[in-house]
Amino acid sequence: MNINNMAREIVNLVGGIKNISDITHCATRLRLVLKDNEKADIKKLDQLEGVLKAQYKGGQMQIVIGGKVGKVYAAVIKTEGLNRMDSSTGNKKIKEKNPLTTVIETIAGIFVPLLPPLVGCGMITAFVVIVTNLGWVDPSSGFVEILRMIGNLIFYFMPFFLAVSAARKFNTNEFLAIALAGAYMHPAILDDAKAISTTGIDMISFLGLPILLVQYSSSVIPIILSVWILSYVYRFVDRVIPEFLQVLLTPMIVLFIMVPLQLIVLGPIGSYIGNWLVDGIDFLFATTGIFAGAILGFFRPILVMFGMHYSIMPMQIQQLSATGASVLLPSALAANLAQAGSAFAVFYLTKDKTMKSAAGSSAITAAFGITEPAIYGVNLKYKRPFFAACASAGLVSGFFSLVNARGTALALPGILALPTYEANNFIFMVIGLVMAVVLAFVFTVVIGIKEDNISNQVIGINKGNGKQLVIKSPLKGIVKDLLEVDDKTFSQNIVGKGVAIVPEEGKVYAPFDGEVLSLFNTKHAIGLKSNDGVEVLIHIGIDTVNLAGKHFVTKVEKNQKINKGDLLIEFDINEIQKEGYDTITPIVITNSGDYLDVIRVSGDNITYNEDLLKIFA
Amino acid sequence: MKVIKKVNNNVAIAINEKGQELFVVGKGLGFRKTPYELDNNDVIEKIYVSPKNIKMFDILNDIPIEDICLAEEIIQIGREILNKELSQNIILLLSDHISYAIQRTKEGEMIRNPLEWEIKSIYPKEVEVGRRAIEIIYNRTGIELPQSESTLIALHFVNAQLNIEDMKEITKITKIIGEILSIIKYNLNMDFDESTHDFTRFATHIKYFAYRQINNKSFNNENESIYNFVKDKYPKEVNCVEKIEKFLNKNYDWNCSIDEKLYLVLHIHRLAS
Repeated sequence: MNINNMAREIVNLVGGIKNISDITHCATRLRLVLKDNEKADIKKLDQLEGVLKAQYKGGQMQIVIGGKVGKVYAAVIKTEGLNRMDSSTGNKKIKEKNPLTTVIETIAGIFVPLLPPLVGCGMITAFVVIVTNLGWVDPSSGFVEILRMIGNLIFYFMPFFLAVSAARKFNTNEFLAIALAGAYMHPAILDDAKAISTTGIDMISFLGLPILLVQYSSSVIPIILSVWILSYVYRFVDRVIPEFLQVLLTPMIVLFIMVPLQLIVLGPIGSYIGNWLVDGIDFLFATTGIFAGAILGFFRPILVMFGMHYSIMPMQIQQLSATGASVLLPSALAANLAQAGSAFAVFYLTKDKTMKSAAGSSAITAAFGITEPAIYGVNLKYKRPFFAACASAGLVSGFFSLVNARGTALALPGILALPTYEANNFIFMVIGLVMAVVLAFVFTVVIGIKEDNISNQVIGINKGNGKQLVIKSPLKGIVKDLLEVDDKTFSQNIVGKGVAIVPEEGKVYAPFDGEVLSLFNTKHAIGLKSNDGVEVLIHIGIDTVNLAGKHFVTKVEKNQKINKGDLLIEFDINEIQKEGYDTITPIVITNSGDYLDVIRVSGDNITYNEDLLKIFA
Repeated sequence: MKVIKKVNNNVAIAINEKGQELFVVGKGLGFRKTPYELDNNDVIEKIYVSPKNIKMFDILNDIPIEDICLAEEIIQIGREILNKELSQNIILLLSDHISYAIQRTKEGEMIRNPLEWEIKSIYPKEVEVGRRAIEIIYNRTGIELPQSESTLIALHFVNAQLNIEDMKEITKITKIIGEILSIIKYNLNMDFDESTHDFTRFATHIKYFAYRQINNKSFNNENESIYNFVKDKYPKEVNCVEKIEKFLNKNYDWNCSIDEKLYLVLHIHRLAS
């Protein structure tokens, strides 16, 4: 069975990825620690094609696969997105996850899925602002009223959106999470909260405990806290209640615990934190003035790099819903336009044609607010433009603070969103925007970019003399692409360019006149050199070095001169396959670097002495 | 510490003050009726710790005691041959493996280790331990494990020396080293004679090169000028090393410093001549 299919089947039969607590492997077995052993179908696993045995041992689910276990493990990790459990060897320094990083990443993770409605509603708000400011429509019309509603709905119902996303993040029941959001936003609470100023009642008593009446609409932190706690409460209740009563009792008990908990404790805490954040930023801006803006502007692109700009989003939303404007948004505008400016500079400076077009197009998209191509595709590559952009963003954001700039809608920070910004004088916004681009451009040009991949090494072309050489086939069988060979050193053309043949007959004949360059003592591979100087490696089977020569018979010796058609090696296809080896045979030109190109010229079936490869010298 | 369960007369499970489960070996440790408080720690000859995610009790319920004792004996031999500190959790992993290997052999199941050549080339001493292990198992049980087992057992000992708990790390590293050796072999048409001292030294260099990469402790970039000089003198070897660099970069995100590349070139040149 295909490795990917096998991986998928295994994951299904162990109860899905949600049931896997840990996964690793040893030389022959997959070892899984499951959350619930009952969810795994051990019988079916045992019978799965490719699985030798499945059993429980030492608290682990062990699936014996044999030699391929490494590949199956890799496939499971890849297809099921279990990357976080894979402590891969590689350059990734094991970052000590401090709590702050975790919190930031969690919040970022919760907001990302919300982007479509966030952006959509934001753009509609921007549209409304533009058309009303331009006087094209009557602000009191039903048209505007509905559009405003569309733009506002995501903020008003924010807890619901966040509930679903947080439920997925914390791996708990989405619908119970939505129920909790409902508990925050039900008119029973919301209306009373809105009426505090008139009625003077700011809490309801629940069995003697106070439920603070808070306007939870558009709140962010309370619902995230609630869903987080829900994940623990749900698991606990689920474990405690006997199975046959679960359908009946679990949801009821969970809600009975969670709703009062959230209304009495979590909600108020969350809303206090939210208020403090907003107050804090206001304070920062009020006291340090320009510097706060400058700092935020400078670090914006870096925040975007780590996805951390989403952690500011709650603050922006809070400010927007509380005061109708956010002082954090102008720095985003500055940052994005600065990235565009830097990318423009790279466009101007670079000599690399592909880079030029990438820089140009990404600069334009960045100007409209989509900065990822510019950041990752251009500016970060050269590093200096990125920091030039940060510097420009910092300066311009400082300027924005000076002129009291603020954004009135959560529109994608780019040229089109300009109308949603206000300042002491709108002209300052335009000045700032232009400055962001120009400064970044100038800084980048001044610092310059370091191009070390100048032009592609054109060794092959230098050697080119227009000659073409044809290599005949040493084997009889079916021709396959090197890509299909299950060995990266061949499939990635590392050893050289060429082709592979699945042999039908166990005989290798010399494809040309020349000499034997190398004959490995394990007899499974031979290196030849033609009188024209072409070096060819014929490697029979994959991993066959492990056979240590068994089933191979060599008919020639190292350094021996050969003639076209000489029998070089005989091998027993059946026996080799019986031992579990794949007989696909890569045939590669080991000195491909000396030539312009190596191309397959044969059809799918081939026999000895037919044209196999063409080499362009 | 408190001894809580007997494995055999000389082997038992204990819990230390931190509440960790330990596997203790010493004369008569399992003889007294458990549980009891051990006052004289001098009796303990060896202590082993349970690896992550494996529950001591569960494992011991599933593994026959004889296999655990076999593992103990093999570890002893391993200590002698390798002359190195072995991580404390090897006993359980090895017992589990041996128990399973014996079962497989009895049932006639063959498992092929695709990294056989690599392990033999890179870890010859550990493979020697593996061969002795097969001997010991044959002597004690009459069951002869296939020779390929020597490479699988060898991996456990590699793990134990490096203190890596996870088999998958070492198999990955071994595979990468194997790939590097293959690229060199086929690119330069060099046949390695694994039995020679020269090859062992070479494989060792590649091995530690890989370890350095993983621990991000590469050599620096101090010898750029020498590397450029070498580029002219040994173009074939340099070409090979740059191919290796591209391969490692593409597949594992590894970057080779100039010094590392320089040493690789020199080593390869030495082996080729």
